[in-house]
Amino acid sequence: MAQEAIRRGQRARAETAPPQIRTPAQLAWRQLRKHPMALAGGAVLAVLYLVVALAEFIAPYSLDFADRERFYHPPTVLRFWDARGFSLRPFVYVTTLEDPQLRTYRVDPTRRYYVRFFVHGEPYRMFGLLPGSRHLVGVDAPGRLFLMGTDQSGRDQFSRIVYGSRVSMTIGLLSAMITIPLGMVYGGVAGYYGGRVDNLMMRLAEIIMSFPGFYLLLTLAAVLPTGVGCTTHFYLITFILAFLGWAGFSRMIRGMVLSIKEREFVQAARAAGLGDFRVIVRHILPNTASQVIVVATLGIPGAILGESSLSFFGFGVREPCASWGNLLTAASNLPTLILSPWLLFPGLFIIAAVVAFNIFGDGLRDALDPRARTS
Amino acid sequence: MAAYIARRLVMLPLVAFGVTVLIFALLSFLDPAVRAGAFITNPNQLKAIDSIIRTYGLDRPIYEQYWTWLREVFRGNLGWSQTARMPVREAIAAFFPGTLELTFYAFVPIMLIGVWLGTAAAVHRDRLVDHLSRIFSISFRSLPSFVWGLLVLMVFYGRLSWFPPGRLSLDADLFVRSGQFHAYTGLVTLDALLNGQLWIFADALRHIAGPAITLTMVSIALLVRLMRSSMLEVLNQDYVRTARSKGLAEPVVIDKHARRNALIPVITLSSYTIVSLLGGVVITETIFNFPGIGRWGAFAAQQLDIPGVTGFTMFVAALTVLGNLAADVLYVFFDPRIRLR
Repeated sequence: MAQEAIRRGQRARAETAPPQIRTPAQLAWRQLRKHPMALAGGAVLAVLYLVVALAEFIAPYSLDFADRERFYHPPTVLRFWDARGFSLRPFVYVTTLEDPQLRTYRVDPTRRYYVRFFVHGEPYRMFGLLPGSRHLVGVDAPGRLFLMGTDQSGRDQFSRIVYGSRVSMTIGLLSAMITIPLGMVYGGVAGYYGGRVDNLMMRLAEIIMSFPGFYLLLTLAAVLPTGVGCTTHFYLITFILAFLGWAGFSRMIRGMVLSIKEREFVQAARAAGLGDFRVIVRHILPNTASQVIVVATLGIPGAILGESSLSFFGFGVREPCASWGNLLTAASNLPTLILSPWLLFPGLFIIAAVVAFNIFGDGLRDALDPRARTS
Repeated sequence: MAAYIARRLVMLPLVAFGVTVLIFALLSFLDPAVRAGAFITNPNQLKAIDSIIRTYGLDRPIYEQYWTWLREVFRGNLGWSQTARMPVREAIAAFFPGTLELTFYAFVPIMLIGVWLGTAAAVHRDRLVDHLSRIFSISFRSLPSFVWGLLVLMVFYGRLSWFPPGRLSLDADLFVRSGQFHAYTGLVTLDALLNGQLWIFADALRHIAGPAITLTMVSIALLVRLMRSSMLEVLNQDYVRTARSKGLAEPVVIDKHARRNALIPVITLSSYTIVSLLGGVVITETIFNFPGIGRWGAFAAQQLDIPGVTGFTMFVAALTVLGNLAADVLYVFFDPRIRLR
């Protein structure tokens, strides 16, 4: 009887209670949906990371595939129409080198090579495990599908861009993964203890912030050991980018911690007898989360550009690995660029990624900031 | 205020110390033979590599090498730069005026266009000017600067042949090096005017235009955005409403009342802009083959010219610290509401 009453009471309360209680994440998502630009940026990023994950499948050719007879080949023209009539399925013609000096190619229109989805091609291992040989698009063997042309040794630029996205899209994430925990703990400790500790720690951070960023990056990259493989080299570059990035970030965290530590819940945590480290990590730092996410999103494009600039001097990710930056350096002398302007294609991907990160970060900032929220 | 400046100046040697320790620490990862290789100019000298290592003490512990280097620095000797083929101190003195000149010719358009565009974007908020200025500044920022440099070179040199790379044409360069031309400052355009040689002034300007345009494109975004947000804030203030309600003409309100106050943060940022320009010239100078400190520094880094690299990194670090200090001081000067601690 009593239980029945309680149950009825619960039901009544459920009916009168506010219809739903939203978690902070739901609130942020609701805000974010109102920014079509930010959503578009997020969508571009999602596509790019899908490419990162499925590179072997999306790239028509492998990373080191080289067709030495077709160097500096212009982008293959997809045709729908020729003397024999119209075809809904696009096709390409085989080309042969005509003038090696001017890099002109003669088109042989006698046979159509149709572009097909899910074609058999070079075998690969997806995620390093699953064997496969299907590629998203391709043409039959003598025909070549160079969607964005080839470089000086006849490597398909589109495939290399697809593989290069792995380096370019992860270098920022990885360096953020070092910068953020380091900067948070450092800034958290400095802000929490204040006084002399804070003074000393911030002076050290300021010293690192006063380092002439790009010059130092250049120097550090120049003295990196040359004998290591390109993967190790990639990690070293990431580490350098992170090393220069954490100081400014820790300063921002420290500023936030200075005000958060005065709040009641921190005093409550301390009164409950928690250790300093636990108070900092469990009670103070989570309150900086929204800012941290935004800084990370806005900081990642910096790492992408930084790596590209390093590549220009030959200190970025090295051959045979590909990154958007080191692909773009193929275009870095004027005569080549004028003859083969398609070498600038990696730049379009850099623009897309950087712009997408920026507008997504801007939208995220508005979405996570309760003051900017409109109901 | 004085205490603040003094404390910031103390940082100067600390930064220099930190940077150089870092470089030397990384040096210890390098094989002495690789470093000795930097001194070798022809294959016959390969046999001498051991003696080079011994002469320069490249195989000694790295802290000893650092100490040797530091002692010389205190005597005013920064070492010999293999890439510049002169002592590091002379190299800095020789290359810095070019960079300074380039920075100036990029800084002036950045300020003028930046302030004008930022004001226009704020006054016509959410209209065409605003959107265009946002699109331009985002796209300029979202490609590495070497790509913009190449595109400028391709258009203005490759197609139009207006702005050639380098610093001076051959005949102008010969004239400048001859006895008839007196180098007062090392800034070629200024010297040309002081010597009354207008053709050299025009020639130098033609050469500096390309890199200056590139630097302007890459660095203007920040200034436009700051000017816009600062202007928006000022336009919402009461005194602007008062000015309008007095019946003042809109241009007077914008130019005389609003813009002057909106300029405060922009002026402060301008010295950061100079610092970042001085730091950002390395790629631009390399692409345009402009003999400045950035091109030398990049070349020194590529060739493992360690005295050159350390000397020039210290120099740029000092510039950075001083520039940021100047920015802080300017801030107080223009806005008395702010106090430095």
